[in-house]
Amino acid sequence: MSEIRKSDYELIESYRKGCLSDFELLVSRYQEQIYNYVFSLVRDRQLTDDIFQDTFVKIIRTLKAGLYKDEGKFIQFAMRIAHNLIIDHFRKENRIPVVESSSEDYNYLDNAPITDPSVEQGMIVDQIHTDLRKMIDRLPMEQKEVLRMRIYDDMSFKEIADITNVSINTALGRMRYALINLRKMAEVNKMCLTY
Amino acid sequence: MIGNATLNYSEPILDETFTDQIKDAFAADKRMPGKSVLSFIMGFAAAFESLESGMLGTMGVINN
Repeated sequence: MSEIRKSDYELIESYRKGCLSDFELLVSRYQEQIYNYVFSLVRDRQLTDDIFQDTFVKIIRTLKAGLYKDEGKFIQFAMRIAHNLIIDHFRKENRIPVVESSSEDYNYLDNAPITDPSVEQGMIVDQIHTDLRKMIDRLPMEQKEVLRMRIYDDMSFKEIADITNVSINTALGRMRYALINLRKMAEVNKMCLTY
Repeated sequence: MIGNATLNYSEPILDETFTDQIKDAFAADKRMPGKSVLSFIMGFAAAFESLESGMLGTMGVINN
């Protein structure tokens, strides 16, 4: 007989009553998604550790203070906290991306070439991933974030808008420009994005 | 229309290959949190728990 999987809400309630092991289950359920979300935006292992840690510290405080309103969306709540911490970090560092999502004039062409010469000779899947990853890294943070949430985390635009605290229109616009910019970068670097 | 808002953009249409490539690029770059980070979180959760019970205990003493 298979063990019945507890819902996020059950784990949260159980933790609020003092069951640490249920909190551990909750962490293990989402640690990968949250950690990779943070890493994909900050691209620094140490910083990701710090933000990931702080995210859970805030989660613990919120849960224990009874301020969490369950709407069946713990992961959105957690990612909103992580998102805000990332924004805080960039603000402190004065590194908040200044490129407007609504602008098509994002100056990706000023950057160094992305592809290695060897790519043209023999493109392999790993190389495509690496190059695509580099192109994604060149996107403004807010475009990168929407791209990841929509394509990799499979979130709806409503969910993305809630987490990033923008309108659905803005989220859709960011996605649109992320794709336009990726395609332009691929074109400029003569990258063939097919296997 | 969603609620009172009018959407200016529709979701961009992506060909499957491009979507898969983006997905794979993210997947290929996957990281996992280290044990020390997870231990810290669980330690904090446990400490918070004891702190809370301690505080409640103190309140109990005061109330009595």
